[in-house]
Amino acid sequence: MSGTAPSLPGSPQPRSTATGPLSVHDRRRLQPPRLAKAAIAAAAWQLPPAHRSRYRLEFYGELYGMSRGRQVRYAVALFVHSWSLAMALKEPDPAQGRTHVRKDVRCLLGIHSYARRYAHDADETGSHSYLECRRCGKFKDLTRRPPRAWLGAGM
Amino acid sequence: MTIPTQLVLSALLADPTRELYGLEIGQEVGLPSGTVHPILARLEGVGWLESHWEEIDPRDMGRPARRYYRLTGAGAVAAREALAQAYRPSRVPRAIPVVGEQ
Repeated sequence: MSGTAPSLPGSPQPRSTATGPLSVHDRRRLQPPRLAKAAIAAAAWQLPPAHRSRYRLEFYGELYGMSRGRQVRYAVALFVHSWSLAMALKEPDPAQGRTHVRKDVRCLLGIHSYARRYAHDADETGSHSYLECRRCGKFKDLTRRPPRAWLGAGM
Repeated sequence: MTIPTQLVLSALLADPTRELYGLEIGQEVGLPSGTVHPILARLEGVGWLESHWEEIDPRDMGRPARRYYRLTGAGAVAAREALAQAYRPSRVPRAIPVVGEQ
């Protein structure tokens, strides 16, 4: 692991690294611009709450060692791509066997494409059969229900 | 596997014991800022990578600690296999049409 910060041309250099802790002036001078800090904070805010603190510190740590203009550009780029990072962090763990199922838009609107399926002990008369959507797997039970009381009440 | 993911894995596989932070990986493989961390998060999520905070005193260094990434043992093996499959050329040669054959 590298112990010293690799610095780029144009980046602010501390005056007293060899003599011990930095002075308050040096620390202030090395601070990233407010715009970069704000972009980092906004990028972290888009992430799931459990990951916000970690990535805010990680992004913030990476800003040091570059020029101020580059710090702003880098922070803005992190903010722009933070949605992609949020999606990566929300993805289920494949080791746990969970899968991400994306529903078809038509199924979300209730327009299913049903196909008749038969249960293992079904006969061709239709008993123990059901309808299953070919796209999303939603099923409809076809077992005959007794007529509702109010339908035959007057007959 | 996407090409950026292959690039990130290649950079980490160049020396599996070496630890790199996100910006450094992006600079090595030439990926734009912000595209590396989603890849690292996915690889860390599946256990191919592990990360830890740099052990420094921020007051002495004048900067906060960085988060360093490296391949796990199983991750290095899996990454090599995945990259080998990704770059493997097709075994079946394309059929070349013969002009005039009936």
